[in-house]
Amino acid sequence: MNQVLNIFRKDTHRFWPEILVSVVITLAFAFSYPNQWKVFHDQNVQQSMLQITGALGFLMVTGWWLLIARVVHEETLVGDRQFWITRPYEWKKLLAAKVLFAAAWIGVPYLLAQSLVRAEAGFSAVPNGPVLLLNLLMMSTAFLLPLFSIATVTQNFARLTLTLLACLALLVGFAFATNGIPHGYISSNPYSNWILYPLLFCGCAVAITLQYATRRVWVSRALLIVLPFLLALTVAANRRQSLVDRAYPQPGTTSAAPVSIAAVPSAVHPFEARSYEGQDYIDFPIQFSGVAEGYAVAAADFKFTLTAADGSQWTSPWQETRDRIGPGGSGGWLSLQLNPALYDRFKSGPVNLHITFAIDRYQADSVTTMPFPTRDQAVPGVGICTAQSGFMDGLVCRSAHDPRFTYAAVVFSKGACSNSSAPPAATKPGAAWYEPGNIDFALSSVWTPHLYFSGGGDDDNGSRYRWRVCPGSPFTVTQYHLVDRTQTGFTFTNFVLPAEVRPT
Amino acid sequence: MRPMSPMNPTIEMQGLAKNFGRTEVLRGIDLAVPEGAIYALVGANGAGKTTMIKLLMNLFLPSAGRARVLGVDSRELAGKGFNRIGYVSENQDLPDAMTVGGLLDYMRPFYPTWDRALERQLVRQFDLPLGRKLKHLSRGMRMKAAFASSLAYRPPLIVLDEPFTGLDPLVRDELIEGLLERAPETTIFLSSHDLAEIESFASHVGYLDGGRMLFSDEMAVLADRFRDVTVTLAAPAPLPPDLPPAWLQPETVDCVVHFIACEYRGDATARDIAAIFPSARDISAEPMPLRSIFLAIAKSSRSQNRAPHSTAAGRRSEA
Repeated sequence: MNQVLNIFRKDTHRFWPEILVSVVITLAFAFSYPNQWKVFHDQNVQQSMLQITGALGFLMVTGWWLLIARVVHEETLVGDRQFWITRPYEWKKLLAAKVLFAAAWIGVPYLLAQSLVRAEAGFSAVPNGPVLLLNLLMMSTAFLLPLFSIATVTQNFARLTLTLLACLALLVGFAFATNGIPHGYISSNPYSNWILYPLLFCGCAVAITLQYATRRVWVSRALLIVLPFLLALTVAANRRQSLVDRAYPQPGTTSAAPVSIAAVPSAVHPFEARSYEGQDYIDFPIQFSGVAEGYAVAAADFKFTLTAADGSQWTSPWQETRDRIGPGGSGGWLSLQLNPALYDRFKSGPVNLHITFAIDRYQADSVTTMPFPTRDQAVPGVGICTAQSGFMDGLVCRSAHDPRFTYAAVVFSKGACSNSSAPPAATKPGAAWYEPGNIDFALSSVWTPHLYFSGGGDDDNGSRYRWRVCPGSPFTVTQYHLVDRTQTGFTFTNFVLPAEVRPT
Repeated sequence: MRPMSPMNPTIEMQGLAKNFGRTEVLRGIDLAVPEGAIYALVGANGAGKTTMIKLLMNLFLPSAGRARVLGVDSRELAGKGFNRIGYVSENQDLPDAMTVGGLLDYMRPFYPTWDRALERQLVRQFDLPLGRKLKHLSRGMRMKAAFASSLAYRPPLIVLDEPFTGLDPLVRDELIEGLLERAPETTIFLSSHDLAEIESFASHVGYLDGGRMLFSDEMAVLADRFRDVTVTLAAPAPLPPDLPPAWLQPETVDCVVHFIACEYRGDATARDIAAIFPSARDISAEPMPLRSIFLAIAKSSRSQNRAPHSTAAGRRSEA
């Protein structure tokens, strides 16, 4: 018998109870996951269902950890007393058998479970196989491969667990260290650190291969110790500052700004300053306008420069914001973050404040108008959605692949919705933006975006009637595609920092 | 037993050394084990026997020197190279969760030369319970299972590291019997710290002490070389200061001088004795059991530890 199959068969026979438990948990996760998009009338039930799904996800990952650890340690590569190392094992075949085991008892059940989830969500599993495989590959790179590699350099499950706990402590420490830097790396489009996953994959793969080929454990351990530092270096080299500068080039001198931005302080919404966790923030009302018809823009990041009368200047790092603006324009707030020493330095007199935005410019592809869905209905660019009514009007959707930047417009009606064809007493527009998530991978390949429409809610005058989106009312969906990225900004002259900084 | 071929040794070491940090565990070993030999490597605990075997099996890398096993550099021994080697160690971690039958079933496809008939014979001979898990077996039974899984493919080299340690005499005899039945078709290299257990069947023996091979020889040659010599003098006399180095542990009580000759040459040795002790009235030179030979060498080696190479017993290390 082929050595690979012989080892695989032995491992399967040896670990069938663990395999069974892992597969059952994976399938249970698949059957539980649709609760993510089901509409429950009882919020408590919904919460419980979500917790069960979360717990099953955790158990599923734990089961994989156990399976990987057990199967690698079955022919442990550390030590000189194992019976198998003086038997005619060929390392390539041994490694292939272990990979086959992981593929058969982790990969296949996972793909099967995800196919079930997708089918339950109303999507076809087969045509989107590559999406599933990509998700599995990303998850394997981020989780299974590092686990596999650490298992190859540890002697048993206890040592593996201790090593993983140490790694976790380092990771948490690193996260704290990088969170202390406001312009540290953040994993979101278009800032993704694309070298991270290939480096992690290659580092772990080399360590595993080296360990199976030579069993020189300290060489593999050294590689695995160096790898996190290399990963940290890539994170340090891909600071948000440089990533945004790279992704959003300066506009040409002749090109028109895709959006006009202005500060709009008023008596109701003045500039205000507050302090929070050792930093000062100036809350800054702004107005976006001038987006061309058929286009939309999203402000992804902003930075600001303060120039004092004496010429001294300070520029903030890029800070995250998220404003989506259609042709109708919109208002918004910025919170300018700076440390108290800088605040004190610039508050003594008027300064010039220049704010620069990183702008994504989108162009409309198609506009679809349909009745507002009450039951499952395909919403272009988003997925399959169903209405949720409760404290907020919105759509609970599930999305399987390639979601689009989408604008959804609805009509709110005042009071209860009736079945009659009579027009409602009063209406007003409402809208929601849907922007694809920035997740590199997830336990499930079906996402559950929620669209909540702005413009509804109760009347300010305390009317007993709410504004609602009624079933069958007009629902317009505009899908966009990204045209370009650029920077734009505006200058506010003689800006005086608020004298008082409120603690929060 | 097949005729031995000293020209084509199954195991060959040249200046083989191993250090762990600053500790020298093996110091420049030169050794050749001829094909067909049953070579017993003996020595006290910590002498370096297991280290030597692990170097041969490529479980350790040598610090200096080299070893060849079945013509292959030990550092390249891996994978298919183990098709021709049966290795059993007292310290081996066996797959405890497997049954004996499961172990044999699992191992069978690894070896192109696996002999099912021999496997069945070994199972019968060792009275192995095929359905029981290895972790539920006694130490003796576990060793038998390890032996069976290492003999069934008729390896041309069997390497055993302290295989009989801690076994009851019955099990030990059963294993030795099973081993000797394979002896005509194989070379056996085994380590032991118990002289009695190897004396009956080893064809060659090497003595390792403190990482040095004090000697290595055929058993028959060894028995001929060593004699327990008693010289009776006409009158009490002190020991002369410059006795030959090949006379180990010399002592005198009244008119009797006693020593162990490790290069005994019959009449030539008698003439040497007569020259050194002119008043000798009687000389008796008795053959020695292996145990006594080794004890004498060990004691002599330790007493001369500052210059162990100077012992006459250490002059020969090529079998």
